Amino acid sequence: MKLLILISLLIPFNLFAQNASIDIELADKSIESSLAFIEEDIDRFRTRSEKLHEISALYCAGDISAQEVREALISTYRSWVRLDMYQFGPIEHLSAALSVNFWPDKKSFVRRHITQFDAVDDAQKSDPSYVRTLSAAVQGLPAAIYLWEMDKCPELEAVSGNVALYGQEIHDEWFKADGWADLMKNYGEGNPVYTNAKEVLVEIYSAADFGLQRAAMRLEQPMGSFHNPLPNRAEAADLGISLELVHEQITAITALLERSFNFQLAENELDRIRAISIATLEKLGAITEPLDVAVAAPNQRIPVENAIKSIKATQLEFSNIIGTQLGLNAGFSPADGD
Amino acid sequence: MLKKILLSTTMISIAGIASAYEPSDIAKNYAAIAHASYEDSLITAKTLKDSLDMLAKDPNENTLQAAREAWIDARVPYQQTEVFRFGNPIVDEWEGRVNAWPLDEGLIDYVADDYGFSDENVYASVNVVSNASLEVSGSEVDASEITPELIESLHELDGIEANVASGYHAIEFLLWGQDLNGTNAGAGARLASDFDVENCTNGNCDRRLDYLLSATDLLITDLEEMVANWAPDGDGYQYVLENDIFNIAFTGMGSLSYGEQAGERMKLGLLVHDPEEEHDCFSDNTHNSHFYDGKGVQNIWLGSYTRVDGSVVEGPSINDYVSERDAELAADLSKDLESTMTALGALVEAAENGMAYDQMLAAGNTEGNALIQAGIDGLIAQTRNIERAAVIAEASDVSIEGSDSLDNPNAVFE
Repeated sequence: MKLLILISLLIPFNLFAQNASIDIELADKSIESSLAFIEEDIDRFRTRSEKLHEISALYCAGDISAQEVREALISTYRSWVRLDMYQFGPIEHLSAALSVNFWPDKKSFVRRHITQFDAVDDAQKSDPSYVRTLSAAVQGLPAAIYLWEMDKCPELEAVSGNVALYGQEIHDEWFKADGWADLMKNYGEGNPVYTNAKEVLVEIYSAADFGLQRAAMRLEQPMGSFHNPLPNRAEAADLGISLELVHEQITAITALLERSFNFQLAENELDRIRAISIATLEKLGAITEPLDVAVAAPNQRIPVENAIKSIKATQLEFSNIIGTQLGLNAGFSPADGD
Repeated sequence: MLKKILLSTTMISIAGIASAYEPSDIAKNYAAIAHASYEDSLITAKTLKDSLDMLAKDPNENTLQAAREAWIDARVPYQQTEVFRFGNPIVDEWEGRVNAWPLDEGLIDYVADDYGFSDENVYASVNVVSNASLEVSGSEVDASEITPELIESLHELDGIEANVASGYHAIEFLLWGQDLNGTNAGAGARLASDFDVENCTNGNCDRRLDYLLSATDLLITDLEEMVANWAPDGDGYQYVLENDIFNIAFTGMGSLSYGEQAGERMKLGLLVHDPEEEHDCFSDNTHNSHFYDGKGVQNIWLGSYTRVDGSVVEGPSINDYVSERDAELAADLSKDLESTMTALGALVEAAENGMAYDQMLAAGNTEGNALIQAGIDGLIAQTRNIERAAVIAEASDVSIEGSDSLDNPNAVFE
């Protein structure tokens, strides 16, 4: 526990040492490469959320089984968690992080706000654009899971449709002409967000750093305390994918760093990033029970704690590699604060 | 090529500037502002206590109203101290005792029958005011006498953050009671007779008064501790002198602006359209809390704080230091902070004209939603220039010594 506290104390104080100069040509290559990676993941979420909407419609029409909806939910959730680290730009402007994935739901807002559907007629209940006017708690994947479990149509179809709308909007805002990707590519004087290449690279690295904080948080939230574990906070526990989501996120973060910084880092440094990531995934693999079960069983909490420590140490190690070699340190993120 | 030249030029221009402002002087002014802000918080908390003594002596709607006004006044200096939290471990570790939020208020006193009790918190309806004995993790806790010590021991009971037993929001709840109006007009409407031992409503008025007075005594004790920390021989003062003032100050400014205020306190409530995510939800004083949080950030940048008695503490500032190195950036950040204050001021104006913060965040209130969103946008926008200013000031790493784990983090992977 002491380690966790010390590491978390150290990280916020590493924010700003980034005045070293960088090679612009290599930086441009990095930006290009990372944007290609981000586009692949954003496109995957767009495609999968669209599929979820189609599947939900077929299910609500009685044409397919609940199991097929479950698989589509899992597939969409996995593609979303890869985007969870990009909580800036379009995802921030669209408020998509909470609207697509309202988690952690500390006050059972999903269950309590789902009743907002009760007040309207079937036409509205099935309309994704109506969903957009409701509480964020009932707009996204956790609400879709709840509606699927409750077998509530056409609400399930409408919420899935809203998630698909987000998939399209996020893609468009990032990759349309003069979208966010162009903003990152065309840094410099007159750019309203990125005044130089280093700010773009800091944004990318900050996303990875924030993603690791989120990955640790995915394990920490249900831990609660020894006497009072909070298994209901395990993300997407009803789909049985809480640990899988952490795995997916760490994999995506590692891939982003590799793809972004392979032009600047030496092969041994890239190997080190891969090795650290693999070691952390192994710690995650040592949790043999589903997360909501593990946190509630005293002898199962230790592997969860080990995995959390490993993710935090990964964050520190990545910071050492990227910070030392590239002079980049993570900026502010939504994880700052309580 | 042009971009490369521009970057190189910037790097050269930053290097080797002789400053008229020494970081140590900036640090001393920062500490002086912290000391004055906490001292004002203490002064106004003592005034609050005086008004509560009047309420206890003569419970009526006038004395209750006076106590509520004293609480609102006490928030003005305190909220301006929040900028000291994230860069100063000594403040961050302490802060939960005085300003923890949100809370499961059913721990403290009676709540409505349809109160959304938390599935996660078995103590969410314990009601200390009405129970002289509590069971905590299989053990009995004697709550027959409500004292500051008892309240301190119940705070974050069983490791659950929502068990907020002490601090401003516990006192707020006792003064106003639950706001049962949802996103409609109206704040909490506790009756003065809830504190009237002779003519008691809702039972246990003596214990409710004991809780209110003890919680305020505890708040005063906690604030005294923090005032001492920022005196010249205090730990907070010494910390900022011994460490990188720019890193400390910018970390506080950016973390409060972005993750905490724009995100956790404003965006979340706006997205769920639910007053349960409103900061000062019992009193409907949220507009002021947000405004003075923003003011605190601006104070640190400008190196100036206006005390509750109207006097001003000011001196060498981070703005001065950054201005010497990049006048345009410094001016941009000053402008950003001013724009944010205008946006947060609009929340205050709307609230004072009858649209409380919980009404603003209601679903379908386009005007209110836009006011909150403008505040969020301002806070996010200023964070980008806070980051840039930190780079210009060359805020550096701060290392923490004495940990084997940090000396050898690889051991974690083994």
